[in-house]
Amino acid sequence: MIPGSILYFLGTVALTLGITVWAAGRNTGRAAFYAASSKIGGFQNGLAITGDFLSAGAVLGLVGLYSVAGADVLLFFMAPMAGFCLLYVLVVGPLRRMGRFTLGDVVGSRLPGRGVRLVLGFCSVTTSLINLVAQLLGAGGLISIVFGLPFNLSVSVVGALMTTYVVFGGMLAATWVQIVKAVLLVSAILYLSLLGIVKAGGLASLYGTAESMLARGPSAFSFGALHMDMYSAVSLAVGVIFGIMGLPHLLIRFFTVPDESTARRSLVIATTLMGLIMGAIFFVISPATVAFLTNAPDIRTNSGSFIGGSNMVTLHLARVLGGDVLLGVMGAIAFSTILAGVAGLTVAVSSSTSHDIVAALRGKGLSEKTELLVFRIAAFTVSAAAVGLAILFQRENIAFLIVAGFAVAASTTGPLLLLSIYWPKLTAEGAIAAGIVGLVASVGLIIASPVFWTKILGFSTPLYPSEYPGLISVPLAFATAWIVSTLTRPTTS
Amino acid sequence: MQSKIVLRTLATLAVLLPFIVFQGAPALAPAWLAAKLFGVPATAWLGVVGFAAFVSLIWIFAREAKS
Repeated sequence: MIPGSILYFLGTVALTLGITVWAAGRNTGRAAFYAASSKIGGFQNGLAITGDFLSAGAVLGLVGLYSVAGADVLLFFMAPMAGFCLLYVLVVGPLRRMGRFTLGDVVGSRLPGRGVRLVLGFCSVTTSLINLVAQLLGAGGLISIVFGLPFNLSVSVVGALMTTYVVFGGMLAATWVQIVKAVLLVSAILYLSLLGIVKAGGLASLYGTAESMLARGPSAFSFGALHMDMYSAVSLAVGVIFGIMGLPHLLIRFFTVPDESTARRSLVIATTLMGLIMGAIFFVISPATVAFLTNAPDIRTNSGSFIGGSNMVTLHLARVLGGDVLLGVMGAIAFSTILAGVAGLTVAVSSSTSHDIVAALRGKGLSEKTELLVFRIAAFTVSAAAVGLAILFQRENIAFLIVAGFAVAASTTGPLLLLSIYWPKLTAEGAIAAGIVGLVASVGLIIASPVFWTKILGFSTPLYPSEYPGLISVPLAFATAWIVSTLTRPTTS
Repeated sequence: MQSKIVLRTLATLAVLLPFIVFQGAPALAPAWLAAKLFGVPATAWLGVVGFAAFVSLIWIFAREAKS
């Protein structure tokens, strides 16, 4: 166990539970549980969105990827920025005008009926569940490193905490946990960046050291290390952009603010903060990991890989630059990142289940009291399922699961939202068919991809040569919506 | 309004395009990307320019929406 770290971790847990107790006293009904009564301010929501996106995947995963591939990961940083700009241009305004609690509300306001809501609810749950499992894998790895606890126990503790936040505190608790985490994370990343520059003796010296450490020398800062072909690059960009326009846990944040103008303002703030933080991660922290960690002692296993895997290089950097104290602080912040992320994801899954799926299956709306009961039961069930899946898939790659979550959102909820907002000829049948085809195509291509088909299932040749299904599954969803809608009678005028 | 949406979408994609091209076809990256500025590789500066461009874009969109 890392000295002092238990205090930072317990402090984080106490702080987040305190927020939950505070929120529980203010949660009076469905609007509070689903959307924090739409009373969150623009700046706070901007911080919460920043926190939602800068999850374990971005902070831990991207730095880890840079430590392997150098600057060739630039598209992984830029595609989300483009996604947020397009989210502003195309989605956020209509989304806030048309929706109340879930994405089902938005599409349902155009296309009434049980089928659309059911399909959208199911797609939302699938997307969020994949992301939830990815975050839990990160949590398990982190706690195992810091405390030396078994993975299964670590994941179960996080599962219990996220259930507590959501069942008692709802979206209000999930939002404020996310806001606190975002402030801590932004401060920590900026501090770590500054420390890296100072310890290296300036930026030029930092990059010079990084170059000398890498066998590839200066070419480490050029493109080509990942050997990504043009098809995969375009497919990655398509998946990330449409994924951002369809991620349920991110989009329901816009229901927590009072109006469209505040929703737009919050996205501008979030994009600015993300530009700053992802810029610091790309420009300073990532090369600093190369400069300071390549020859650092006690951070590698016998096989030469980083202890805890490449996802943990940010924490190793904190230890090398600031000792055990900074490692404990960064570990606690990374832990709070995961806790906040899983809380938001659990709200997204639970609200889709109670507000969309169960209501659609019953054929009529539930009373507020019943719906909240279903929300809580869904939170319990989803948490248990996510913990079980995380234990089952504990050896899987976090980045792969996050890409999979983006791909499913990009092929299902993203196209359905865009079409329901901008295409008046979309029919309920077209939306249902597009959702099903997008889901089957994205999940099928993920299974057929090299990571799953060869590395997990053990086959020699992948059925689909790329790790990014977006270039096939996204156009397929749009094409299905167009064909089926053209063939069926419009349901709305 | 629709033309504004199309223009903004194209502007955003135009900023992203070079990053897709350099990632998918590294041979097309210009030679100056191998150079350094103030001791820092040009690819690192390119990243900074990219982040600044996207942040600027969204502020421009927001300013236009207000006016």
